[in-house]
Amino acid sequence: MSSTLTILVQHALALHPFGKTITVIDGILATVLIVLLSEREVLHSRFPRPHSQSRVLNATIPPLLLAGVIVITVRLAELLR
Amino acid sequence: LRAAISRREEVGRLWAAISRRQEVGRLWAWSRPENLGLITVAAYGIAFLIAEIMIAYVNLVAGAALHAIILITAVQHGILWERSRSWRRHGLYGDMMSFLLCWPLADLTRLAGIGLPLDHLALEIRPGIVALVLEVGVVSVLRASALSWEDLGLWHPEARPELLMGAAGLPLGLIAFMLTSRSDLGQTRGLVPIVVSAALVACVGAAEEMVFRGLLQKACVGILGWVGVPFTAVLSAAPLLSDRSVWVFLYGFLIALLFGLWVYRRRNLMGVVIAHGVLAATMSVIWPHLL
Repeated sequence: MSSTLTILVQHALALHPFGKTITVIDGILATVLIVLLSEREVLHSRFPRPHSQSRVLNATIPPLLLAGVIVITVRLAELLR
Repeated sequence: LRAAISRREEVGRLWAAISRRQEVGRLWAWSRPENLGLITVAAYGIAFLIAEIMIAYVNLVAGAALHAIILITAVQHGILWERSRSWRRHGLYGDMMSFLLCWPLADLTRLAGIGLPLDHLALEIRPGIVALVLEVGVVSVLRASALSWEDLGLWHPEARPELLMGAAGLPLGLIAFMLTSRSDLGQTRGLVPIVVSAALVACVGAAEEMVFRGLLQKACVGILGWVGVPFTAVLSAAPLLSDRSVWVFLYGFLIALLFGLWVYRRRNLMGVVIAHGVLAATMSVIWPHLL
């Protein structure tokens, strides 16, 4: 999932309908999201079932994921318009 | 003579060992659990303020990057804290866990505010998208902490004081409008767009109140006691540094302090959620149209 998202984010950020500053900040947001998703994958693979969940990750990933989806959707919509 | 010299050296070594132990003891005393909570919260708070100062006075991207670093650090810290066995029986464990669960949301609030590419969308719906991200964050933290909306402070005690507090948003919004520069939303035309944008801006204000007063202040008060109220007020007023006006920052801090004290004393969030929503809607949309 992280790698798919990385490719999507790279494509979305490669489009330039927005300013440079906002593109860099979007890149930062995407990096944070990908780091946290990777962290979750690591926890899933290294710990047995009851310990593979992290409350902090469960609290932080959904809003970041939503922000990431908004970034990608808006940028792709700008491309298709 | 040699025996005397060696005894003297031995005494010197002993003294050095004793003083080292005293220094270690002093350091150990500073790393007591109570101080550890204080140091952790203060460190995150100072880092947040530095990020805001960088956004306002140095570079927007550098400030956003620092917010991202703080967010990732807090998450990693939270994961480590969650898995620590030695702290689990200590009273600080639960308070620190609540703090580390809520803290990333403060940085995320800021990153969502400055980072989402909403320039090409209709002016009226932009605040709604930011509010949606914040609301999802609040719900996620509540679910992860196994808290209910009542635990957050959204319950119905006596309606009158809460409604009065909510109505205080009108004059507070007027003062804020007079202090700040005109917002883009003030240029909206037509009744429906004005109502929609006012409602969505109110949602952002309400969501910010849930993040800062509902979740973060509660966690900070658990660790710092009453000092958590002004601490959270400084954090929630820090984004106003971007206006580069001392008066705007002071006004924001005083309002945040008022809201914080209200929630601290009444243990209810309803009044300040309404007040912040009304304040944001009137400051950005209503007063610019009426005056």
